[in-house]
Amino acid sequence: MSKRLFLSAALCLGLAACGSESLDEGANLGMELRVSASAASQLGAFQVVVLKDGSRRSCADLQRTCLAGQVTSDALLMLTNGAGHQARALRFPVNLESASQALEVDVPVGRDYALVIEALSSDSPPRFLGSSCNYLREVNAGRNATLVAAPLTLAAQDCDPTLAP
Amino acid sequence: MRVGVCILGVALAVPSSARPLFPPPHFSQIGLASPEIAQARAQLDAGEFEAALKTVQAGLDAPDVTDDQLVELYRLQGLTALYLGDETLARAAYEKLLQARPDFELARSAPPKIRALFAKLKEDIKSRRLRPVTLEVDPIPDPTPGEPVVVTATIQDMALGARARLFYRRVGAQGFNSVDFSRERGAPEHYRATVPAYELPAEPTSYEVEYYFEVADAAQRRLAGRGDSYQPLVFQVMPRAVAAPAVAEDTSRPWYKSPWLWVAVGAVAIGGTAGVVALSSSGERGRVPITVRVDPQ
Repeated sequence: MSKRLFLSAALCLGLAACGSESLDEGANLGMELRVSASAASQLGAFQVVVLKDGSRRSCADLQRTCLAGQVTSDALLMLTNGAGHQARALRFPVNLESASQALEVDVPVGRDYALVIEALSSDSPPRFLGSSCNYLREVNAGRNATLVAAPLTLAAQDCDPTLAP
Repeated sequence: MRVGVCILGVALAVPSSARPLFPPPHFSQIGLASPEIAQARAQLDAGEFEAALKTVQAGLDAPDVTDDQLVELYRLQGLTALYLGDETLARAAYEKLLQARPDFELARSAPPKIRALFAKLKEDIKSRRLRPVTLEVDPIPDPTPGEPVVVTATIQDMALGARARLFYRRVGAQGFNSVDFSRERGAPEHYRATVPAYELPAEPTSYEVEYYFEVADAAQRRLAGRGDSYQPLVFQVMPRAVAAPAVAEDTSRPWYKSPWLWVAVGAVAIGGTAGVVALSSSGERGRVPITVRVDPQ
């Protein structure tokens, strides 16, 4: 019983901490995306997209529904994944067995970008489960400074998240 | 109080499942995912000290090693070196370890010989008898407009947690931008930074860019550098039509802005070699790693 009490208290503390943001400049890199466990069971893939003119975009608007219906392909940067595959929208199959998943994306060097991660369902065709929108001030050659992403906002929408390659 | 009790009550009502509430962190998230670390530990346990030392060195040479991994690698290197009787190497390893974790303490079960060396090293650090960080980098020749500039530098005795950066700004701008030096693959002391091409556009008239190099520790204390924000070095970006060869010197530049003067007068790290290479391609990419983590709810 005492073990359950401890775990429950820890869970409450964890829930209370949801949504907090932090900036860890000492870490090597990266971005964190938080997904609720209920959504995680439906997750099939993460779709990563980088938009030009990040400072002119409204993340609140971008997260309301699929990106595919809001931007044109010329606003998207060509990305490369670790295997050398190039596309404007890279999809990474979900593999969350260990509660975390590392992705790597090569982005053209530049500044004023918005990075959007869309959570897609495992259905066919996939459904849009929500997205995380983050401003990328600049991307330098090599490893980039730490950026902790905004938490994923769950807003499942009936839209087609497929982006033209 | 009532709310808290209510929340706890609700939480207690949640039936426990076979899966733990909080899954164990991914191995890479705790910073010790290096296969070399696991292998070196096993070799150390098996008494294969020479092999363990080579494994540790391979781990140190690997790209993208986190600070936590470096700390563990240096700990293993120090321990292995002592077993092999190489106190010089052990000392170097523990110096690096203590740079990163000044409060690091050995386990009480550590052999007296190791504890004695460790205590001596901590005293040296307190009295600042450690070797300083040295930065060897050449001034940037006037670059070709519209192309990125890659600067290479040699940094010795780099402290863990420290960052080497190239600061630059167009003359007249208020603040400096910066790019980080990143360690080159397989060459622990060789670092590289790139000024993006879009920062050096071709324009009808020439313009100057001020810059300086700096290595700073985690507390932003300057450990080494060349030039600074008050006395920066300068290169000139020529108009495209009359772009000069990269090593051409602009005779109209005031004498006090000559980078060579500041090399002679103000450099913290003296001498050394470095190269500046203008990339022929502007399609350069930067890597943005992403960690996706599920928070249980």
